[in-house]
Amino acid sequence: MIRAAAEPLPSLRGTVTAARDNAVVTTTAARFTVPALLGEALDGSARPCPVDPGELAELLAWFRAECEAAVARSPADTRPLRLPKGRVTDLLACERGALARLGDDAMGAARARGRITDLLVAQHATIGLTPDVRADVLDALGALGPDGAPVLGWLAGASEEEAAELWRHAEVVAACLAEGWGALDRAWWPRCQERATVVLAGGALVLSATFDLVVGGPPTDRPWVVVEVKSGQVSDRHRTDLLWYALVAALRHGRAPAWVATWTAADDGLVPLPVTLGTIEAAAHRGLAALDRLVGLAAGRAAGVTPHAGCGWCPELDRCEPGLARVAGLVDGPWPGDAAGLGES
Amino acid sequence: MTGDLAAGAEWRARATALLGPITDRLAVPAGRKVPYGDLVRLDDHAVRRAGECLAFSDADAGEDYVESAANARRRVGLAVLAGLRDRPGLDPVTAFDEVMADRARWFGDRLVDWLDGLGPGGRGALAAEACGYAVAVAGWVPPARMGDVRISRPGDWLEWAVPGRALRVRGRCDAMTPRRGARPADRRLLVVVGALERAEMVAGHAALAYTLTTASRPQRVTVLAPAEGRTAFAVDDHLLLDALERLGAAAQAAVAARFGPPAPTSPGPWCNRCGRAEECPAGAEWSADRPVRFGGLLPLR
Ligand code: SF4
Ligand code: SF4
Repeated sequence: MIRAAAEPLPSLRGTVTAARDNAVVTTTAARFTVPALLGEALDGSARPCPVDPGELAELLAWFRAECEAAVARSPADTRPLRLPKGRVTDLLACERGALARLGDDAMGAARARGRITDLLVAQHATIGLTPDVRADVLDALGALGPDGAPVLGWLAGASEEEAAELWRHAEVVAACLAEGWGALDRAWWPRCQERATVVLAGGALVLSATFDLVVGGPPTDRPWVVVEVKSGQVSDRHRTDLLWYALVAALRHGRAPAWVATWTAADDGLVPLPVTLGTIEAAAHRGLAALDRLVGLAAGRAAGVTPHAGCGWCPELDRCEPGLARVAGLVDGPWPGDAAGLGES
Repeated sequence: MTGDLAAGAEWRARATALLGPITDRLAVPAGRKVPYGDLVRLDDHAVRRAGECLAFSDADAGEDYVESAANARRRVGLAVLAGLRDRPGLDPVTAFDEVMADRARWFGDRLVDWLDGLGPGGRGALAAEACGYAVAVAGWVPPARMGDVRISRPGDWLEWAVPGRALRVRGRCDAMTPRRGARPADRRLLVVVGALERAEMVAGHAALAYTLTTASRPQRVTVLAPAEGRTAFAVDDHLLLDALERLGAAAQAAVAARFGPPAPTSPGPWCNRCGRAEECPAGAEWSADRPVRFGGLLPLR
């Protein structure tokens, strides 16, 4: 059984110049674009090491058993414990920050950007965008009914500047999709916002993820690729998020995707991660570390405070001296591999 | 009568014997047509609610209904699925385009009106929902056997009228196989749900509704939660008896809600979705000493 961390990756950044005002986007590195990734996945040239089904089954069985043992330490009245992707990231970055984020579902500029980015990707991947991006977004939000209402409500109360910034972002995303992605081949059977839930330990633990875009995989005969969409710019920290997608996908379907990738809408950047046994194993270790923290906190342990690069976006910042010091630059805290979402969605 | 049909008829007799006395206040004279709004329908939602608390109320839930991409997901997704079945090699998005072009043939007036009002953005949001549903269900059978799947049309129900009562037992099934030429008893049913948590209840209710509607019981019921996976149940006496017992509880709850006196309460996590939560002492007491947790964690404040 392989116990190494995920393989090192080549430089994976697609360089894009996005002229925000007129939304002209030029892709200068075709190697790391969505079409290039799908092309390479299809011809198999980019896949270094297919995952052996027997070894994968063994690894997943080990992970399930570890989860069961960890959850057994949690008080019964706190179950089911839930680990969505964001909570894994939050718990590993700073426990107190993770608790401060619980139940915080207020709509703000960052969330609105994330939501409309998802909608534009969904429309692009299915029926295609029109030149009137604003009309497309408003129409999509209206069609979502109660699910679209929070963004529409936020827009109604936003300042002119905030609203203009949102629409500029929408134009950039649409331009990136048109030029960076091009038309997505329908034979890949694109699916958007596909939820995956894994129930473990007899229902006491629920792992989950929402795959922003899934292409290929069963029931097609194409390789399976999962793409996470971020509204911000490309960053190395996105790779750790991808680990969770690979693990949850493998647990849910009993097989591994060929690739998981993050696409960043503000700069058409792509961080692709080929899925190997090592990738999934690294994800499993990271998931167990987050679960250990979750179990401890559920049992009443005091939350640890670990300032990190995401403190500026923490709802607890005003009440947190270490965080304030970090933001003021007084403390040179490490950049945790698991820094929080840094204001993106 | 064959053995299957005899068994099916026997379940009708059992259901009539159980539900008749519980619902005597819903009696209607033979031959009298019951106005649509006066009918009580016991569907899997009612059965689930009664299993949690007989006094649970969601009387206002229907009043807020609006068409939306999420609400239209199943109806449009079933039509997309039919396209995938009938035209091997077709992709879901093209199937969706074809359904939209032919929407008046597929859907009722209310949904057609809503679809007519959608622009490209709304259609994109709906395509994402409907195609996701169709692809999830398409994995139920291998592609080579897809042609043998009978797909429910939007608005199809398994519905059985309880003799002499303003009462219907209503079940739902998204697809079944084989498609045609089979005896009802050879059928395997598929029901799509949000989560597998109560899969056995869902499977039992669908199997019972099918048995009562066709007077013949199916072979198996598969419950599929696209996010989670699927689980299958062989239809035997045990599954149907449990389902019948839950149906009796749902009938009791429905009669109490319409005519009183109030049914006994059984508080639990479902209280926070109950329309009576503010006036129900049992619910208030249950919630009082249980802080709201988020996936096991207490928020900072
Ligand atoms: S401000 Fe930083 S250190 Fe303080 S709770 Fe938030 S994330 Fe943790
Ligand atoms: S509040 Fe709870 S106990 Fe009371 S009627 Fe509603 S579900 Fe039953």
